[in-house]
Amino acid sequence: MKDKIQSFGRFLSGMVMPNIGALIAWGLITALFIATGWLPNEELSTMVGPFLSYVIPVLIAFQGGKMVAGQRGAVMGVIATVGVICGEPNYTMLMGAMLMGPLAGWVIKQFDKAVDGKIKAGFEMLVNNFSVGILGMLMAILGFYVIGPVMGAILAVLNGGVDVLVNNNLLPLVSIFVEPAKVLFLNNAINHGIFTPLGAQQVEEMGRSIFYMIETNPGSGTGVILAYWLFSKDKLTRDSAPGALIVHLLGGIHEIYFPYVLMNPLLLLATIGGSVVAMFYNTIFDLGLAGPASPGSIFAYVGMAAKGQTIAVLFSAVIAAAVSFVIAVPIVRLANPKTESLEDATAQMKSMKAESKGETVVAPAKEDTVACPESNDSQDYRDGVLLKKNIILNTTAKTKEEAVKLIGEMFCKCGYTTPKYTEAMLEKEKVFNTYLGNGVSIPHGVEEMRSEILNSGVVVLTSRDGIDWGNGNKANLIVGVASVGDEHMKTLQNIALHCGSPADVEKIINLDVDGVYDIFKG
Amino acid sequence: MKDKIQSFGRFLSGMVMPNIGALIAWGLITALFIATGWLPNEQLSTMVGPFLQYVIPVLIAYQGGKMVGGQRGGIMGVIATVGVICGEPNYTMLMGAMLMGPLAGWVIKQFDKAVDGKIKAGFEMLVNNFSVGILGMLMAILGFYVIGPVMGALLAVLNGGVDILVNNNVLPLVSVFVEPAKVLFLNNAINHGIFTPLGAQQVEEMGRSIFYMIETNPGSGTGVILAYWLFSKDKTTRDSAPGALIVHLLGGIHEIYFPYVLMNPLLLLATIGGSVVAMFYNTIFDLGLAGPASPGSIFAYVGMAAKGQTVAVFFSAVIAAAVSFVIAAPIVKLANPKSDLEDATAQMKSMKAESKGQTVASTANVDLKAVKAIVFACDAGMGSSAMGATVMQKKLDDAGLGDIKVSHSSVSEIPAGTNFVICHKDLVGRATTSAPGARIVTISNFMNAPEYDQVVAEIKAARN
Repeated sequence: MKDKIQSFGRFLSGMVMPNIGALIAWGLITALFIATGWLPNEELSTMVGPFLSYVIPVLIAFQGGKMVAGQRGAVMGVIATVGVICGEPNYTMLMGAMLMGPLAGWVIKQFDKAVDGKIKAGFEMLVNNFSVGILGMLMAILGFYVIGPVMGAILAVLNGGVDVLVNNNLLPLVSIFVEPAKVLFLNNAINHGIFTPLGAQQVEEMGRSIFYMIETNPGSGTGVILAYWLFSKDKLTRDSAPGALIVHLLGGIHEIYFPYVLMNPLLLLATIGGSVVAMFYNTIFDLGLAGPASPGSIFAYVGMAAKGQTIAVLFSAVIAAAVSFVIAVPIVRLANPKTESLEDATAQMKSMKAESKGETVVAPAKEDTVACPESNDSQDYRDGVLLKKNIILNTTAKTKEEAVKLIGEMFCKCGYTTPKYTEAMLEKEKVFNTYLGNGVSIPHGVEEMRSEILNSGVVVLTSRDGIDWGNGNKANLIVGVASVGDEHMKTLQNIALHCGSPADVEKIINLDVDGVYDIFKG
Repeated sequence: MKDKIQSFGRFLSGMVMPNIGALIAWGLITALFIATGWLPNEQLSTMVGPFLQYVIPVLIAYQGGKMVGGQRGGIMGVIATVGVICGEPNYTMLMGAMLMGPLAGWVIKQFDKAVDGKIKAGFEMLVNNFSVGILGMLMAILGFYVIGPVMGALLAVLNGGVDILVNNNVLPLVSVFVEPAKVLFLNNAINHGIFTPLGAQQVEEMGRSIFYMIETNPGSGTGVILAYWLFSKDKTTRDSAPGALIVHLLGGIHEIYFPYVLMNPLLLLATIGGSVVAMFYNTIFDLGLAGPASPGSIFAYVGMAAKGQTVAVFFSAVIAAAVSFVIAAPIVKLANPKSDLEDATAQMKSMKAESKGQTVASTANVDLKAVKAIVFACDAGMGSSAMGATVMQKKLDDAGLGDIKVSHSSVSEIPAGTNFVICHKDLVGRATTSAPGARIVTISNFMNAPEYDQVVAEIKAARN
């Protein structure tokens, strides 16, 4: 259940996150140029309406369609979403776009699958262009008559519920659910999946929205980190606090305070307390932000304040921090320093984060001499992507598929990827053979499934006899790659430098684990 | 000069081509649901305005920004283009988007370069999000007050010129320039860079546009191919005609008739003749299409006809084919059979390659002396290109060419301005579209390709 919610949340926020820049630009234009803004400008304020009604839903639909079916899916999603927008012009169709974008992408994907290989040479372009045009139009009509009005009805109900919460001053209680959900890594899903669309709707009506203030207030987390800094009995934890504070409060990366809460879940009382009080304050003074404060840095939070509320919004963060700090202090002081160690908590967090990304959690195997880097050493887990235990000499895998599956299992066991990454790698081999030459292949996943990667890691298999990698090539050295950023590049570059000829590869596959490790580490 | 025009045209059409599907959808919705359409529907026709006003420019701007500055460039382009659109709401800002999208993408690219490596850990997201937000807003304001109105003025002049052409019935003469340009592979640049935006503007005003009928009419090419089929003295050429006819006329890939014209350039008289007469006919009967006929297949051409003009539009293709055929027949009959299709096809390949900025086989048109950077491209930019880049860099370093920097990227996101690309042989097509104007060297073995040494030797030779 939690798995499904998280996976769904990831999908929703995946459509919004790449477009946060546009939401911020729109928020700034609104805050500055509308009649009640900082620099009222009737002309420039004409951008506000179309920006929200058309442009942002279009960007979201583009991303949603693209996630399902690439560039063609993106264009389909956009066409179809125009129908949704025009079908119910009274509501902002951010949520409609989140639904229609992926749906339309899925439609064209099915079409492409159905006609794959059946189009006569010379007709590809005709079919490609007109399939998007015609199916897009049909989906737009469906959007106009069905999805638009249905989404409108749903939004009406949702807005009704929101009004009830707001009018009865119950909105602060929302924090009771939000704070625990945050440390379970549902933060982006909640914020970008739910609060951002609701907020955009409110900004259009009132020029500001309180929904942008719920998840993004950096105060509560600051209170907790401060409490550790001043009162933790564990020196390591205490010393880690100032750095964490900067990244959290100024950089807005809330994830960094989650382990502090997780190592003593009682501290949820502090973050909930801070948030609830701050939200009461926000409700009473009718505060709001003009655009999303993303990431939740104090700069973003205060900078996005509606005109005349800058100081009041700053206070909302101060209040949250103060309340959270006051509750956190006794909890931190009374904690048994033996049960708390930031390292354990960080490890626990990693595994939760992995879980939140859809991985099945693998119990840390205590007998492992070389455990996964995350569980042993939180400080420098980024230093290497290759571990000795991830080098398997003379693998028993006989076929390409077995080898890829083995690599997938190893990735999964180390928390590098979700189990789905195996499919991603197999899919990649179908569209593009990863054999490089000289007996080296580097299986990795297709780009669209990169979200299945949780941490960067590399797995090395060797095979004296070679594994048939297709096209008549035999792979002796197989390097599985899962990479979040560029951490794996150094390893790959080392491999490239040391495999310049078939003889080099021959030499490497005859080395022991330490020998292989020494060559490829980095 | 021709190089520059082609490269510019490629850039323009590169912004429009991925979004042709959306233009077609919009054209269909317009043709069907507006008051004078096939199935008038007041509700559904509310989509027509915003679709053209906001959605299509946004798609073009995204693509334009992305071509220059990646995903962030795409978003920047969109934000900035909202300013252009709202700054001059009386004109459709397709051309404004073609200008502003890449410009805004360039701005964020410069910003990213300037701060590269200077952002403190933990602040990347803050800087990334707010740089796009703030710079995007500034560009939108620039678009609102400067680029929007300037584009509006330009479009007013352009529309004035177009009106003169149309009112004096001289529009058909445009074909005199378009037909030769087509066989020089400027077809996409002309059609998607110029006629598509002009057409969209006209459709909004009148529900149809004659501009969609200039480059896309498959008639002229059909006449030429027919003439070869019936009268060519060379059997291979004759036999190739029926297949070419299907691909051209039904599939809409006009490129296939270009070699037939190139092997006897006199045939330009036929295609020009066919087009001019058809355009006179189109002008007299005030014909137009409701959306772009892309590719220029007879199905697309007739299918996009405005309501009540289906048969008339079909005749416009028939007329072009007939006139072109009549002129082409004697030319083909009198031709010396020695200049045959194979030569012409080879010639065409080299012209097409040139039009795509690619070097043909071994003849390099990129100045190797000036090469300062090489991009190694692979499917996702995740691994193989990085490994290849490492090997290549090492070879260059060893040869004393360490000033050339080898970087790696995904084949679809080769940075603009790259003029030397190495990629796997299966990716050459995508590399060509993604890095127009670049010399592309293909390899099949990333680790130990003989091509690496050849490239090093070639550059060394060029420098000495």
